[in-house]
Amino acid sequence: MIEIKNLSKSFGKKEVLQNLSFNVKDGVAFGFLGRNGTGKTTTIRILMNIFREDSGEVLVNGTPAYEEKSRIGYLPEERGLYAKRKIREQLIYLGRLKGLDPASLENEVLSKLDEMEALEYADVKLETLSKGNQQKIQLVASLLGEPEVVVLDEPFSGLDPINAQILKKAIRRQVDLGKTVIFSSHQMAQVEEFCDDICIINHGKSVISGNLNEIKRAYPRDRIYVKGSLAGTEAPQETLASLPGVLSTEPFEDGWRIALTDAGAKDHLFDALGSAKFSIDTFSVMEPTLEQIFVEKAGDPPAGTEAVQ
Amino acid sequence: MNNIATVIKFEYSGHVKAKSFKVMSAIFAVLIIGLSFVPRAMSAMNESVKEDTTNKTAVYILEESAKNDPVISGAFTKDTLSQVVAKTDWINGGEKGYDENDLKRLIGNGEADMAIIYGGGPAFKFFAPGNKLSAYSSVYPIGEFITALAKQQAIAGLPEDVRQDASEIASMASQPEIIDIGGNAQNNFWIGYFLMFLLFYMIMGYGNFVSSSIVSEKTSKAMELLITAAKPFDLMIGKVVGVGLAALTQMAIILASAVAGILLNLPFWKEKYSSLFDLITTTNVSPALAVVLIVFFFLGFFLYAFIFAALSSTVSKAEEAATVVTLPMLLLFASLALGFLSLSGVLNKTLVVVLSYIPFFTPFVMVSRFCLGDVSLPGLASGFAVLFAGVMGIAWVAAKIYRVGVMMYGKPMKLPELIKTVRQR
Repeated sequence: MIEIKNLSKSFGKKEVLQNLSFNVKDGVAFGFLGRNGTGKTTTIRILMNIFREDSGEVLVNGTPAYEEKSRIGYLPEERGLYAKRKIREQLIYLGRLKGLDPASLENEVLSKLDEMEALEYADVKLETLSKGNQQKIQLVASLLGEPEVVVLDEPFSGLDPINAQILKKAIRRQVDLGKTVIFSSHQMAQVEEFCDDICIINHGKSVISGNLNEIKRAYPRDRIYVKGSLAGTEAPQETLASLPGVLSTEPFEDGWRIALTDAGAKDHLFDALGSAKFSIDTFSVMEPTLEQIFVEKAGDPPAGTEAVQ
Repeated sequence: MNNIATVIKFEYSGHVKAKSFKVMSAIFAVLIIGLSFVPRAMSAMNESVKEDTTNKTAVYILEESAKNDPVISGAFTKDTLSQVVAKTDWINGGEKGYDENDLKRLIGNGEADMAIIYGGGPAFKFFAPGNKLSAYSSVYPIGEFITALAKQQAIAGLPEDVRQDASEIASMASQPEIIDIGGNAQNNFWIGYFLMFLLFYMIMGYGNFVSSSIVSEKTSKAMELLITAAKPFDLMIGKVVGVGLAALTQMAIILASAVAGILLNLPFWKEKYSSLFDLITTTNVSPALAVVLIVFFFLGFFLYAFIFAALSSTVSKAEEAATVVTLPMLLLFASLALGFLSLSGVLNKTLVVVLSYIPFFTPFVMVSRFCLGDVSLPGLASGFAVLFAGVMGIAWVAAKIYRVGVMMYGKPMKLPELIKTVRQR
């Protein structure tokens, strides 16, 4: 388990992290989210011992993270390797620096390149590859030595859909192997696709963390999605809006999204739809998307207003 | 240590495999070998070259033991010696009542170019002024002559009924005791200039390589991955040593080309530039001191290369690197100037001694002192100790700056801000 405990870090007068705390359980895919400049990369860099914390600690299985650095694979947000060197040569170099066995290193490099569908580039210079392919090479570098924890900072940025699929497959494999994958991204759909647990930080503090499904379930169940038809009318939205307990309606996908006055009104709505001769195809509670949660938790209030606690 | 070795290997191979390295080395090699033919070609074109007809003057003294030996007294004559060493007028010092002090005086005031005292056997004393390099080239033929005499003397002196072990006589060799009379640093002077300029060139060229290589790792963003895999200290040391070895390789190529060029024109060079061969064969740089000089040479390189590495780590663009290394560059220019000035004798002697113990100047000023024959072995050892301590200290501070610097992007920090950040870390 990775424990981030009361982590604080300032650069000059700017307080980037303020008593940040959260845990990452073993073998889960963990989404570490926040707006630009909220301290995600700083936290990751402290975890990787690139920066030292001002106070607090980062533990990996109870041991300070800097002692466990070799067990963590890292794909930095700022990516790049040696443009003028051959891929195989520089991957072996990075593997050697990580202390990997030279005897098996070359085979591992080639096998990982193959997995990433980049074996054909083993003996070409990095500068000849597209940005997406360079990113795949960088992921290979971070996975060398089969680390127990993989930290991926914005892994999908700049990738085309095909390369994104290859990368997703590789990351999925890491998750399936039971590794802890820490995933920092702005692409909520991908975080939602991969991650079991999340932590959203804002202004260097954790604003919400835990299991994503539980977080969603904890939201009020007062948003309903309805799909169906009402005999004799082409525009049933007005009828829906007039039903008891309905606050507002709006078209959504093939149906309507209905906001209720409270979560308890959903049963009444279901009955009322029946009474109104509405032929129901779909009736479901709409859980908030991760993006909605993110906007709610990490979005600052508009200028001139105060945050409501 | 493993990581340092890994980085050294990677950096070294990166440099020597680079096209620019191969092309530059090839150009240097071709140029130097080509240049070695130039004097020969010029000489062939210029038929009016005048031969040096000036004869040297040499004095010899035979000790009593040799005078009484018929083998030696019969062979050790002016005529024989003139055949042994060409273009030399020999004077029998014994006939003129000279002693060892007279020989020293004659050489000291320039009346003689060289002198020998021989008392039989393989040993003999050879006197020559340090600034008369061509005189030293006579040691070898005289030594050969004396070896032959000593063998004859050994055989002639044996009782007829005793058989001398032939191998003992065959292995006999002359044992010259070379005495430098009133020598100055003229021969070492040029070695000093050459060494200092070579060190300056090496630091300038390859120090900038270190600098640009670090900046390129930052701009390519490879640095963030590197420092999660290895300690910044290992990365910095490995880079500096790796680049230093690449520099050494290129210098070896340059020197090998020069040697190859000379060998290709050996007879011509021997004839026309005998003083150069004297310089190579008779300079009083012993192997131990040559090692010390090489060590000074490399410590000097490391001292400046670490400064370059630390300062370059604090910037993100190549053009900014040129700005931050201005200060050490000025220091380097000052060191070279001080080295040259001390070699030319312009500076006060005490000042030169003091400067030679300031690590930034030691590689240049100590080399100049050595070339002037102005430093004893303990003095040289102290200079080495000071420079070594200086390199260690600079490496330690450089590693601290490097650790912070490599993660700094954007506008370069001002020095007070940098010091504060380093201390916080």
